[in-house]
Amino acid sequence: MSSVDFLALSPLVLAAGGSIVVLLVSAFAGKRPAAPFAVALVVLALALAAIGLAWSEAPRAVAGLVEIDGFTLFAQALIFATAFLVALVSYRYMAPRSGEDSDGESGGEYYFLLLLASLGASVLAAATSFVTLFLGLELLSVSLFSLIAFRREKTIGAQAGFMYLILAGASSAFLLFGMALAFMATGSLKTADLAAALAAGSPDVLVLASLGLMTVGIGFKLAAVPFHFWTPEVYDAAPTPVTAFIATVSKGAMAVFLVRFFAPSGLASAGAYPWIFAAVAALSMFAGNLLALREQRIKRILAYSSIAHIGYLLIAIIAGPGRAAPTVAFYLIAYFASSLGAFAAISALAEGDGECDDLESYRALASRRPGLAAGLALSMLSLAGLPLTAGFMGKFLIFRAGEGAFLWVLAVLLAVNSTISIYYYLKVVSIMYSPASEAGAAAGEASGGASAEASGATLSRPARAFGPAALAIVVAVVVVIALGVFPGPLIDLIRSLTAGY
Amino acid sequence: MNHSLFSLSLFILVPILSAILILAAGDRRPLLVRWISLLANFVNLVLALVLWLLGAGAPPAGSAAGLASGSASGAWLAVESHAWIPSLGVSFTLGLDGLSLLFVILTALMGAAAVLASWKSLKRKVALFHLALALVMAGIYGVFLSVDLFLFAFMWELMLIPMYFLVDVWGGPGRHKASVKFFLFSQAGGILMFVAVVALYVLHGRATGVYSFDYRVLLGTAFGPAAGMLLMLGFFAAFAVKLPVFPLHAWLPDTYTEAPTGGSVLLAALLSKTAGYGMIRFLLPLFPDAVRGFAPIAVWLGVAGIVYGGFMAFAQKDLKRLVSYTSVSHLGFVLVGIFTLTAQGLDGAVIQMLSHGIGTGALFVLVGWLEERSGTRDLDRLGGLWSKAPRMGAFGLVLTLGLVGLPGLGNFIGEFLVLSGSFHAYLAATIVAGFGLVVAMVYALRMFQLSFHGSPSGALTVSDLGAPQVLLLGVLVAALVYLGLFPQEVLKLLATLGASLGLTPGVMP
Repeated sequence: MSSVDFLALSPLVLAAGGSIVVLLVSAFAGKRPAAPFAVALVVLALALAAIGLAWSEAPRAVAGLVEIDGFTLFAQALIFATAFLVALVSYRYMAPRSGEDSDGESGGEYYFLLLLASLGASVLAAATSFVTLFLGLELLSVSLFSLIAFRREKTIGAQAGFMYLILAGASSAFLLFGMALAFMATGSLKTADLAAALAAGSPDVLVLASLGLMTVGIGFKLAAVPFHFWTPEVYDAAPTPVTAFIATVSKGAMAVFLVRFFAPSGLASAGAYPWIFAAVAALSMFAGNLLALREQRIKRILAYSSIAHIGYLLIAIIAGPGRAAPTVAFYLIAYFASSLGAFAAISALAEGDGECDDLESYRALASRRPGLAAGLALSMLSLAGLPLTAGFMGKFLIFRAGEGAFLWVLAVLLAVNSTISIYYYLKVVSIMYSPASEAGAAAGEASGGASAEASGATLSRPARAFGPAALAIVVAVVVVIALGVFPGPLIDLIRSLTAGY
Repeated sequence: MNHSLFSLSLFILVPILSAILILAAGDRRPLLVRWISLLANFVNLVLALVLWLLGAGAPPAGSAAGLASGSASGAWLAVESHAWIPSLGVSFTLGLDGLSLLFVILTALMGAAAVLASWKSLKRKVALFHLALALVMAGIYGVFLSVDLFLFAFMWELMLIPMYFLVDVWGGPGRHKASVKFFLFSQAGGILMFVAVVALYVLHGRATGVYSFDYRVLLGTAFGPAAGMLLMLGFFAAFAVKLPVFPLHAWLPDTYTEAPTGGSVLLAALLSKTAGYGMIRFLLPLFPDAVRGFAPIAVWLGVAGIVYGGFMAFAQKDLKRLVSYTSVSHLGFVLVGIFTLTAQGLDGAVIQMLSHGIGTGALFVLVGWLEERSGTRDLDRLGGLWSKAPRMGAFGLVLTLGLVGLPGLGNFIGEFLVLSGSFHAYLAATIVAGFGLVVAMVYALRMFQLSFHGSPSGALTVSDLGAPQVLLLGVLVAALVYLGLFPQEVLKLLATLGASLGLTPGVMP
């Protein structure tokens, strides 16, 4: 490896080194959670800045393991930026907990794990070899199940962490076996060689079996149907900022890997594979949206909604060379921003040990905390894909990517699903903007709003000061609106970054 | 005409600006909020009327002729274009011709009516209400002015969101169900149209290499019959829900009834018109062959709506619900008129839309005031109101006669032109639709009789309309009479519409 290689890898190096620093700081920070938090933010900011350094060397393949090009750097920037926002959201959310059961702990290992998980995702997004794929994936998974079970005092968290551990382990086994078969068939650990074997026409059974096994591992990470069963439990039990991280970074990195894997030849040449992916996409859309309809807990609603969104994203991935990468890139930003906005708002509402999860606890939120309610509502509308939000433009690009006749069917299914999804997104919005009670509304109607105001006042709490989580919400909302109104510059940027795909 | 000083986006900017001012004024100053809201609508009304007066001096708009040939903007009264997402061929292009001018005037007029109708009755979260109202208005102007199909679809979905809030937050007891139903139906249609828009764009781009959403560019795109029919149905889905067309009307009675008065006015007077406008502006010229194949089905669906709406209206006990069902019936005429594919039918459909917008909008205003004053809409409890509130009764009578289609009011012209347009091609359908007029007579007179005549029920205390209310209803009735007596003034603006779409004039051969 040359020094130039190090330059290209500098974001990863910084994140890896920085995570150690965070661990050290937290060891000496005593009970002050602010120190590791601040260091983690600095590390993430440095890693983001280093993307610029790496850009000067792109495109560059390093040691046949990773490919540092525009698309990779875009994904890494997105991952680090998201981790930055997740860290912001985490600060208040995690602080009281680490204070309570403090055995002289600062809770700094939380940020260490967060950095490691981002590192794993960044490696995954750059992987061109099965070695780096596995490395990134495991780094991500191991950090995640510790993060999911981070609140040790809660049984439900430990349960979910254990569940994730077992399922992640099992899916890794599938992935590994698939890799072994791929090595047997092609004699190489490069993902491109497997893709080439697929594209060569009438691939032999080993290649197909290897791809099939790997699909299980990939499907698990993406939480695509039928590998989605862990999603609602884990989303529900994990600390909300961690849920946000799973919903965005962990899935996005895998989607980026998939795009890169299929980029040279496209899925079309892979026998029955387009059909399998199409079926997974359709099933994910329908299962996610239909299961979300009856949910009454907001984190579970978002869990199912994320399954549906992976279904939408798969349509773009199937779309093939030239169209998949820019569409996926744009959709990821849109989806990341909307999800982060929603999860950040939910985290900000959590008090002490109590999660604000039941939909009923969101009733009349708009009159108690209008800013927060507006942010959450906007995120929901963006997830639903309504105009003026990033979600609308994302959906537009997916429709546009689905040029082929075969994909039109999926585009229409997406249209149907987006209608179904409106129902549960609106349910959340509607409850936030309803009066505190239906009786109160009637009374308010009659007496000119006086009593509605009064009942609102008794329920209201003093709004908390503008915290780091609020900053994250503001950033997410600004991105959502900016992309919904003027997506042009970003689309052009993405096009130039993904020119080779 | 020189419009260099005038910008079409003003129509959209004024409501948005008013929304910002309303937000700044806040809930504590409801009166100021109401005035801002009213003033914004008034500014747009004046703008639109000035355009009309200026345009009247020009040769018959000829807009549509220019449209069909896809020619330059010369055929439009005004066109305005800004880059939006240039790399995808999306532009912020607005255009105004005779057809859109008529609907812009209607929008400004009924927007003001919606504000005035909510002046006293709406007391909760006044600022938020007017904010939502202003945003709906911005979306509606956008729909009537868009020339870029992406922008059109964007605006189409955009007006839904604040409308949903209007019903969901300020509506009647069943508002949650009604608003969700409304949103789901509309969204389903809207997103199918959006898919069709993108498909049209891709097909055109692949055939010609020019990727653009500009309607003038997309005109004349060639596709196979199956693709054309599918795309046409995608557009039709959105319009059919919004108009509504008979089997897709299920959301309408609930939504119209549960919405607050101002919301009902917007829904009935304006949102349904966006559908009719969309059919004339986009469906007919973009997919002429598919439309021709589909026309008989659409005509019969329209007839079904006319008769079904009439019968359902007859059976209602709730005054507002009754008026809602009459809309199903009257908008059936619009569908029939458009799909007769004759110039007469089309003219009739436009007149019918305008008079339905004004007449039914005014009726919703009146019902809203009646409910505000008497506390009920139940026809069994109302009765004998004429003696207590003669001014209300007089307006009620005129508007009821409008429902019936009395000559001298706009509806008569609309229905007459529609039926004479459909007479040759669809004799049977015309006869059944004519029967719908008889049904209208029955439900309208029943409605008037039960509410204003009969013995006054003692429990009800109703105060009559004051001067501002009389002024508003007076203006609306005057507009209705104008449409009925001088339809030529309006039809002038549409002079070349039919010819440009390649339609038969619809007179005896």
